[in-house]
Amino acid sequence: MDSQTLEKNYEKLAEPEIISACQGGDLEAFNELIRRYEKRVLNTAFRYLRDYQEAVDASQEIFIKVFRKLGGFQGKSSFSTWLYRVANNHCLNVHQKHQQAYGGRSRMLSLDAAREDNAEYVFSDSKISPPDAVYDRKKLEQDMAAAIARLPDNQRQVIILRHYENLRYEQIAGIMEQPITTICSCLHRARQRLKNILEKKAGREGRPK
Amino acid sequence: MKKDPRELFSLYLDDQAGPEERRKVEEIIRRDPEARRELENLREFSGLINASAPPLVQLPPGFREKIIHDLRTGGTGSGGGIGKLLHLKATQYWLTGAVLISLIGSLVYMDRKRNQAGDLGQPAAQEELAMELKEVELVHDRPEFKGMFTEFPGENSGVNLDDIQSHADYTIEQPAGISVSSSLEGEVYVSGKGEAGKKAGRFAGKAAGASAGEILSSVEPARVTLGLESQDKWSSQSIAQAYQTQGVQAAAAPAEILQLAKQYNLNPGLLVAATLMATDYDLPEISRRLRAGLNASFGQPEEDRLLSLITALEGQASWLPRWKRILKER
Repeated sequence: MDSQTLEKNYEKLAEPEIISACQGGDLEAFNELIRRYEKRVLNTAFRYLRDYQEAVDASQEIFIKVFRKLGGFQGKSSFSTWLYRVANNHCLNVHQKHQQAYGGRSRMLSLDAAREDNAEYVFSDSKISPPDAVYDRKKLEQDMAAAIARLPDNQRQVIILRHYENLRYEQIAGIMEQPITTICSCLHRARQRLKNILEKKAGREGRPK
Repeated sequence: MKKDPRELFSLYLDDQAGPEERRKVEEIIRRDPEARRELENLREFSGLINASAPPLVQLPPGFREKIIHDLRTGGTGSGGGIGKLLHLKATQYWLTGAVLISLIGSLVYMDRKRNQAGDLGQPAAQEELAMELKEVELVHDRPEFKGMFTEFPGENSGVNLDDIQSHADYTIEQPAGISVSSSLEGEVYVSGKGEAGKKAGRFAGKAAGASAGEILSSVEPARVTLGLESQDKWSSQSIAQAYQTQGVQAAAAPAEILQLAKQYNLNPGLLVAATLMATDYDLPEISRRLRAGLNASFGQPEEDRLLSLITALEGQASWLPRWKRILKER
């Protein structure tokens, strides 16, 4: 049975019913669950890893993990929060492994590489920018990615969830299983630290802060 | 610990502050022009982070089909990460301090073996390491440790030495290639070089960096162990007892250390770093290293408290000679 046929059977079901079916090992139901979240999970992975193929691999691993862990999902938090938690933890693990494999150096690839390698998968910006602005934007993305990679795990996570995923504090607290006050402190420290890292870098490159 | 009121700036900027918190922030920026500038800088910087978001990417063809296929076939055909994932053991989520110390003990052995036999990257050495790891994981099942284990959900704490050095504020090299590092946020990492070090980092990180705040670390592996109490899950006494059951000489952290942590309102991680150094180095060396660490740090508010600690260490640190004596006796 191909995936289009599977979707026809399950796409109208409510999420709790689908989850329940998945918990019983129903792969057709899981196919529908993946369909509902795949874009979000892939983009989350890409925000952590900044490498398209790695993000695809990580996303697929995340869904495998989710299927295997679903038996333990008790609905104490929403499914999306739970899924996000699994996805974020997995991406952090993958990121760490990269750092180990690359001798601690950041493996953040430039977005140029992502665009060149996966041009058909990347949305092009609809706004046309002048060359300098394009360059600055790319430089900003690269510098920020490298700086974020230097943050401790919890700070990196909170920056990505807040600034890239645009989640509210309550949602971040749910995903990270921390009180909102902790999230607040962590975010504050993370921003300060990022700022310091970038300022030091700017100082080394002789650019104005 | 009293919070920095400027932490409220993030709440305020993100429009997550309640009425009382908004009032506080507005009061601060009304009174303090510098704080107002800081808030504006932070607002500008937040916008910069937002602007640095990577572009959205689209799914490749066959994305979902591959997952379903791999689940159906057990992932044997996967060329990517799924095949590896399917081999993860559930025990990886159930690591304990006892496992940790056994592991480190093994790592000492492995490290010596490595030094004698060459690169751990050789297949035979890897096999040997795998056997060692299997052995230490079995400690979990021993009857004498029944009821002593706590689940550590933190999967992300272990890192290798190179990674640590990229963002830790202090790194203290221990015997047998094991290092203990601490960041100013109080994260503690145990790490080492090579494959053994990566394993140590990963395993130890789960214990040391667990979300509940337990801090567990090691000084001179397989001889003396320090457990620093944090919250209520672990106590240094229970950790020491666990190790003693295995025939590992271990000493509980003296009460003075815990008192010092409270007195200076210090994150235990910093104190662990300081006290670990105390076992291997004398006081001037501790001070020198801490000060060097401070010079390279990022200006966190913890610095003031850390300086107070250094001063205390340089003055009358009555616990230190006593602790050294305890260690020596053991």
